[in-house]
Amino acid sequence: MEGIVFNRVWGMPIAVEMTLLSVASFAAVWAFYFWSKGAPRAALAGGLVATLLPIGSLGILALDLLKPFSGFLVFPVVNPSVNLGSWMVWGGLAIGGFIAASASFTFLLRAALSDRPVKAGLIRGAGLVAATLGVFLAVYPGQLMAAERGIAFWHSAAVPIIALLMGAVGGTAVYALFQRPVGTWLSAATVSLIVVYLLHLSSSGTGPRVAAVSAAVTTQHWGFVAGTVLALTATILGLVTRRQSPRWIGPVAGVAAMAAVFTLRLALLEAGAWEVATPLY
Amino acid sequence: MRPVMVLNARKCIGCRACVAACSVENGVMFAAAQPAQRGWPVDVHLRTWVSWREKEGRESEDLARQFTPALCQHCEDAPCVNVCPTGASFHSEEGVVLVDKEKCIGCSYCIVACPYGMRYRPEPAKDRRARNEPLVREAQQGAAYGGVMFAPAVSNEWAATPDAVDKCTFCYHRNTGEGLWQPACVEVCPTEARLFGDLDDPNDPVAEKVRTGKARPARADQGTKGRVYYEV
Repeated sequence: MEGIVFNRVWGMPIAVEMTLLSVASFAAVWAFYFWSKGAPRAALAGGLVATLLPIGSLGILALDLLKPFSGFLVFPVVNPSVNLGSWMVWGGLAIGGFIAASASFTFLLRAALSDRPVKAGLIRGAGLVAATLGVFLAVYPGQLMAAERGIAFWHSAAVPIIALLMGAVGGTAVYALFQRPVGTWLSAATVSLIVVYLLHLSSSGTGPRVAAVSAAVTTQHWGFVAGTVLALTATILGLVTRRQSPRWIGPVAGVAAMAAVFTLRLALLEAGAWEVATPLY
Repeated sequence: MRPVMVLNARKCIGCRACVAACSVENGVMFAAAQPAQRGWPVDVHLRTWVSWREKEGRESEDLARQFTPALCQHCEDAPCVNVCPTGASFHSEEGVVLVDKEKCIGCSYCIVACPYGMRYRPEPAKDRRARNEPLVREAQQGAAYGGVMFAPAVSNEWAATPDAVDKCTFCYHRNTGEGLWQPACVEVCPTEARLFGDLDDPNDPVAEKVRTGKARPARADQGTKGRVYYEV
């Protein structure tokens, strides 16, 4: 494997940060769905998750920066020379907007539940913005990875799709934890994630040498093995979740699904590699 | 002016004087007791490095080892500049890729994006610990840091700092605006394995190597139009 250097730049903290963002992203989508279906308490819980997790995510990200308190330089208002061609700028803006929209949605919903006069249009607007930004934020970590050219294993159209499915799994898992009837959706999302992840490994195996090496390393990574087992567990438990099922099934499926998102993402990050050989010699 | 560097692996003897000169010139923490046979700036945490390998199956008159000097390619279409969110990575008017240490937040996106592995992320805790000590001379003390540390002789605007991503600058601080300058690594190379020239100068012998195809990009397949060429 001469000339191949594995990524040690984006590791565990970034995997945690991206996972929190994934879970929050579709939690907002589900929160909006449950609100529109007349289940405000379920929506409130999702809104709270969608508000708090991105804040935690930003905190972890800040700690991973070399200048923890300078992260605001990605915002055009603060830094006129910001690079609008960088996905990180759009991600930063979207995370800020997402937190604001989710917090507004949660606050307005809480007020409405306390019998204060709140216009439904306001709640709908905030929820819709949060859900839309949520879908973007699910894709965003994958797009961030795919847009760069250094690591061939990540420079693939499959990576944003994997990220989107991780968001769908993570957000749905929140409501599985809350014992809401999302078992079928959880199963569909987890099995789709496994299928696309495996397709990515397969296509990478026939791609550039360094991508093939990354794919081979991924299959031996503990995160991939554990993630696949956990995702399959969530798929099966999601399918057997019914009203008559034992109460532990939903939460266990939710935890397994979230853990799968984290470990599969960690494997994807840690198996990424550069091919830095100079083939002239 | 368009500075260009031409490296000749056949002339390189792997003495790593270039690495030491760069480290002293730019304040890069350098553990001399940890010489890696293979490595690239991204994993040895230096602005430039010379890795080597044994040649196998060659004629006896050939060199036994082959050395590969590596440093930032200063790409015209630089992936690192394209992804940097804060505008910290930029091109100077001469086309040298630089990092504004004030604007760099250390997100490491540029490191990930560089197809050549030529940027590195400093380790702030280790770096500060080393900088707070005087130049370590005793072997026992040096071992605690993994080797002998070279502290910067003279700091410069583009010198390494522990809170910003670091890379080669072609010793841009030596640019006085009065013609071509010489990077420290080029200056100390005993075999002239590193040469520095100006692509815009029709009489420049180094640029001529590029124009005639005697020197080629390291990874032409990347299409980033780097300003570092390897003589073949």
